[in-house]
Amino acid sequence: MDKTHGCELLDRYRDGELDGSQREGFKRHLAVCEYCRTRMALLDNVVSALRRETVQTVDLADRIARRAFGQVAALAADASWDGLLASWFRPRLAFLAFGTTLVLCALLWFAPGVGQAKEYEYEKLLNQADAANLAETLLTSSDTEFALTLVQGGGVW
Amino acid sequence: MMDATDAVLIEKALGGDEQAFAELVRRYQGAVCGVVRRLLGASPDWEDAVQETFLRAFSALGKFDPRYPFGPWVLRIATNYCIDQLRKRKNMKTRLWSELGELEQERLLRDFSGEDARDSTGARDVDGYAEIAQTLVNGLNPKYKAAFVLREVEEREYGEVAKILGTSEVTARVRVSRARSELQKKFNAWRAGRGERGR
Repeated sequence: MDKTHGCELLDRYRDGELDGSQREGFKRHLAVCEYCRTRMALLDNVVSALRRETVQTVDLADRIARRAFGQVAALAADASWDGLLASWFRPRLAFLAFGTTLVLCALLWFAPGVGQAKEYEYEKLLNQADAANLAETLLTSSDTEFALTLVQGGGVW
Repeated sequence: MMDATDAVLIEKALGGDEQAFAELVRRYQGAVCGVVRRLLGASPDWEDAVQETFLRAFSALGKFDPRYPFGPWVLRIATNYCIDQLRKRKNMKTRLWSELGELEQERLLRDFSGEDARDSTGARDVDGYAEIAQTLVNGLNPKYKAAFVLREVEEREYGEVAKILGTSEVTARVRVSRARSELQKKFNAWRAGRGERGR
């Protein structure tokens, strides 16, 4: 069952796009071409079987509209929380918060008695550290090492 | 509300009028049901597909240009949704066909080819035809199937088919033509006893 001359008109014939003489010519072709005849029969049967199927139309309009507007209401409720959250990330507010933090840190840093030790306090602290180091040396080193430490001026005496 | 144009209903729906949107759905649910039912076949989820179509249409309503007709736009949403669903379930055709007995398959295929359109009682097996037609059509590429159903079964003009599918008219014609050829090939394959059950 092979294609013959005229088979190419089958689509246009089915679509009703052939003029009078072409249509008659294709009908004559159908009478002799088994390929086209079978194809036409198959398509006619498929289409008529599908058309015969009753499409039950259920009235879903109110249900769908209710669902659609219900979704909108739910989204609006979510959006209020989202908006609140997003407001914290708005650039202007973020810069304001950052600037305020900087100012507060500066105030704390330059406040009297905070962050700056007096000179004599440093000296006192250094002396305490030296004393602690010497005590540790006395406990851990031998006599020779201790004498060397004293000669090098490591002590406070 | 009943006399209002689609554009007016859309505007009202966008303004928060639920009844306006319900009226819009009422106008097009028949067409959408037809397309969805024919594309998805005897599937229990076709009603969900109709609802999903209109919900998607509602969420995109703000982008719709009311200078164009609403029908093809909503049918395009329905068709795209169905094509996605069809891609997800590929085993449908195999299951339907395998449900038939061997003798029944043989008889239906013979009847379908137009050689012997009537059984011994002289009556056509309407349910059997519908089943095999659905089986053959379900075996098509979803895009070809959509084009075939819109053009052949729903008898829409190629221009409208193209609008619904979101393609050019030439592409719509090509898809319908390929659907016709594919149907023939699948039918021949089954008829020759090779079957396409595994595909």
